[in-house]
Amino acid sequence: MKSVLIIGGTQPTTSDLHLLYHRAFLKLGWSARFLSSDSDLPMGEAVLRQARLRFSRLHFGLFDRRVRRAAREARPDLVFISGSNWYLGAETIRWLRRRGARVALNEQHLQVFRPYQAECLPHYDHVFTQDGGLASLLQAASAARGVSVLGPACDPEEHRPLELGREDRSALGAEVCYLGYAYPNRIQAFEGLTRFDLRLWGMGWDASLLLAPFFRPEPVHGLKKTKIYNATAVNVNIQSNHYQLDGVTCRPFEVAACGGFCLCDGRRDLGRFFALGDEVVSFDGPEDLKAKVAYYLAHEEERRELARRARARVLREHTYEHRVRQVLATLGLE
Amino acid sequence: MYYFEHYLREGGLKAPCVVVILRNPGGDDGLCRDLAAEIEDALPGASVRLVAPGEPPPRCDLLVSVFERPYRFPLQDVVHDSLDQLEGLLRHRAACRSLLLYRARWREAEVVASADLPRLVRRRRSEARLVRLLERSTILGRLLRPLYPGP
Repeated sequence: MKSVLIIGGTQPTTSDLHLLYHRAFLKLGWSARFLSSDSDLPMGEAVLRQARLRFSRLHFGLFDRRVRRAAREARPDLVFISGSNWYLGAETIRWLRRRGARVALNEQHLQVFRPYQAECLPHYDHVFTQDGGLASLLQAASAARGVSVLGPACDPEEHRPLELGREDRSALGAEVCYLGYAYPNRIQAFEGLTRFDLRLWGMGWDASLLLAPFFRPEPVHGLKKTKIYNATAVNVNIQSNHYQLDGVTCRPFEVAACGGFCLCDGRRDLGRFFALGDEVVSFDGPEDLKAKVAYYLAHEEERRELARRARARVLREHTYEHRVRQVLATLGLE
Repeated sequence: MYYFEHYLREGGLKAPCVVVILRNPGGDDGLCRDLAAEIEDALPGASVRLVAPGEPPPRCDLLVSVFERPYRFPLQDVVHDSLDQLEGLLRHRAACRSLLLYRARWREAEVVASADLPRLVRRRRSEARLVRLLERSTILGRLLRPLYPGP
């Protein structure tokens, strides 16, 4: 049986996607071990990763030692670094390869430009990025051996239609919702939507006086997130300007798998994965967002039909199992 | 959901099983209800029961204690600030096979076999003492300033 060591985060970001890769590898018959870079840490690492010594040799040394120990135990055929390479040094990547493992980076953000991250690029067997813009940049201007886009995905067991009771609908439902961090571009967009029944989940929304009344500052992940996507008429997706060039994150894929409707900001990569206007609707700026929210709230059947087609598409092409098959084909590990 | 499925399975839990969640005095019942729903979803067929503060838990496979305090970065483990709650679990360890320490505000699930709980309590006590020392040291305080200061 082939074996993968997945290195990724498990703390409450918008998605448990790195763990969902773990499940997808298991489903494809691999033995899979997950090493968290942000949870269940030895105390030294836990303290250092949140302190100003986060990018210090001391912290890298502790993390790399833990990775090497896990690799000695698991003897992986593949080391899959998912999210970003936050703390792994080039020497450890070379060490993993010398032991016979393929090493692939699955870059979800734009975290390849710090000196140690750039130094690692030539040593990976392959670099997957979630963002087509980043993939083009790396293909043109980096020493990476191979670069390709590995799209966002959904997990149909995790993200699924649910029959919600009245209590859940009342507690979690809304006309419009957003679940994530309150970046300035998102605050600007949602300040224009306060005339709707709006709910904001995640972090930082109370920074806006206008949005604070719509903010539910409670932990949301897992099942609760799936319920929210199910209970909301219009889920909105606005990408961060810090972490994406052309890319989209997994939110539209997860919403679609839940049978929900998602309005997405018009990123270039959206058309790689969905038929625009037929499966997913995009908007261009806060005014367009406001107009489209009003339109789709008033046209429920049209909204449901778009959601139905988006769901069919993600189940057909965009699950984590599809992505793992792509990784294995690229690396010749099928 | 897979997060709990993964960590509960790594902790040796399988359905069908009996899970008991201890509610905290003055705690957020919504957190406990959400957690119960997550565990029922992760372990279909499991019986999940919430127990009122002070009520002795019935025999179970998994006893869950929810740590609700907010985080203080970078010395971030809320268990260090809730040692009484952790030590209180020692009274109940004969009633369960495993315990789940659930840090709710910045999600982290830690499953520990009940036989290993005394050792874990000793370790967290030592860490909490170390944290207090770190906090008193001016030099270390500077080095360990949070990377992302809170509000």
